Amino acid sequence: MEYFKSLINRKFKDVVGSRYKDVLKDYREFLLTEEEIVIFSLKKILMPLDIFISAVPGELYDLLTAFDEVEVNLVYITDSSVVSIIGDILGEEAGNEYQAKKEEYGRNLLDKISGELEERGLPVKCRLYSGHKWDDIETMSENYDLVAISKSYGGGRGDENEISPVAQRLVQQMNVSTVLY
Amino acid sequence: MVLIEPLIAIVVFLITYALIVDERINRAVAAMAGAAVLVFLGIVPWESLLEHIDFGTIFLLMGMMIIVNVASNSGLFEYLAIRTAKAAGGSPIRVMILFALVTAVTSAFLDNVTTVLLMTPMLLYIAKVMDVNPVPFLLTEILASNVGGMGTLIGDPPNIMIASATGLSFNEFLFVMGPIALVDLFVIIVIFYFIYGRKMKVDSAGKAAIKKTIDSIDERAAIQDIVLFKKSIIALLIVILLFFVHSSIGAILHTVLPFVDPAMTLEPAEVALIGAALILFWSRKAPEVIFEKVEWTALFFFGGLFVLVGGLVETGVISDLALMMTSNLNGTHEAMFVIAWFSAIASAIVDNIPLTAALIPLIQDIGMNSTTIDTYPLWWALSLGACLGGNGTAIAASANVVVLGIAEREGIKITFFDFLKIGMFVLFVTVAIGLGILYLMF
Repeated sequence: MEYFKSLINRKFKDVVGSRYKDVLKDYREFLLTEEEIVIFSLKKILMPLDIFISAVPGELYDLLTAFDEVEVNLVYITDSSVVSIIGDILGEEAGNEYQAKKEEYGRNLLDKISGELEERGLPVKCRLYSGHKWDDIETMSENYDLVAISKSYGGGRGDENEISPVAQRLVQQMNVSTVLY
Repeated sequence: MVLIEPLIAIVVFLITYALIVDERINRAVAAMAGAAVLVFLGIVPWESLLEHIDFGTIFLLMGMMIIVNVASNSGLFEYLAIRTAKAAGGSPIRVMILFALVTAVTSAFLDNVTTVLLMTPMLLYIAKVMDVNPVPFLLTEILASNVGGMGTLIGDPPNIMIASATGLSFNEFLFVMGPIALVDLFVIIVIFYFIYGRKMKVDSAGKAAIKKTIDSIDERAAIQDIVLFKKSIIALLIVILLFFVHSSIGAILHTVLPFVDPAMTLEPAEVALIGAALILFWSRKAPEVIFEKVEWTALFFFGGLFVLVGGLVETGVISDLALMMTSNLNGTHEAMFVIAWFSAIASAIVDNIPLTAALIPLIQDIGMNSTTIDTYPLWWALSLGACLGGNGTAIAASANVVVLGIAEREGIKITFFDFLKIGMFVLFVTVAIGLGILYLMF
């Protein structure tokens, strides 16, 4: 038995040489890995939005539409601590005006993005409220399969590749798969 | 001295054969060393050495190696493998049948080793996705490759050697061996369906999940160079077309180029070299990169073998054997039976290339010595036996060694005896059917 095994190996080496390694290398470039073969079940996606986000890239929509029967929840949070600081410094009326402006922007953004998602056949739920971005999203994420979060979430960015501190902290602390866009 | 020379030629041939089979020394080195001994002792003198080397076979192999190398650089084989996997729609039995068909057709026109080397990783991947035993898929692929190779002049080295020695045309091979290959492939698929079919069932939900995973592979990603990919397909089609018309090319060209002799024909080796020149010129690939990938060891192996067999011819061993066979064989059918079964069983045990190299001059001598035996059907019997003998054991053909070597590297156990059981059964069934069809034809 051992003789035939080593005989096949000898013949394989003579016939194929190093070609098999090259073939495997080529295949690895476009075949899924073993982990990727397992179909990832995805039902609920959380997409946090805020004043720092104005649009969502088409590639993210393409990714989300790859999953069947998925529901996207858009959550727009205005930072309650900022509203209360403005209220404390400039008065309650200024605080309310600030909040109203932010909520109007939020509603428009929610309408725009939910419309784009629905156009692609994805069911969408929207929610707008005043709260704490870090803590609320982290708590909410436990009920979702995936969180799609913008690099700008919770703060502006100096350049395209920078990640806001809020987005960075959320990605590090959430125990759920995330897509950073 | 007269008796010593044939004895030396036989001993050198047998020792070299044993070294080739054992492969502790590279078979090309073994063949060249054996040839060197015969040349050194003057058994094959320089004047006849070049006559014994069949340059038709060597140039045909060289041309096809260049064509296949350029084509495989474009990702053509991987693309084909992914498309085949997708066409199966997540059904394991369809994967087995489609891969067998694609492997057989590809092996009929291109090199068996390259075909199985590039198909097997994809087949293993799909088996993993389907969560089924990959062994039946691998075995079918091996058998399909050997059977497919039998179907054309360029499909398997024994056919190339037979064609080069006899002048049989591409279409003659296609019309005689092609139908046999088709019937045998069908029989193999039926055998495997009955042995493994029930174990391959997957429910509709499973099929849908498999299909989804396989559909997510982008076959376009396999194409490394789209321009080269398109050029390779066109060049391959031109070469295959030229093979179809190589024996009547003069008559075809004469209609548009009157100065061309209508009786002109192209040798298969010329077609392969024209194809190689065309693809090299058109692809603009660096020739040194392509020439580097030509399997020179295989070409030198053939060269050494032809000299070794030349030693047997020069010393009269082959003609003595032919005389003995002629006096003991009664008619063409009996000779066909002996040639087919001897070459099939011997090819299963030892390498079919030296065997074919030795049997070609034997059949030529039978033709010269006998008035009752027609050698034309014997060539087909030799092709049948030498090609299908490759299915008999794990070491009988290069495709077997490649697939089983890959299987071992991927942790899939197919022992020599596992293969022997199914291989020998398939060998006996397919050779019997093939011989039956040849009897009906001749």
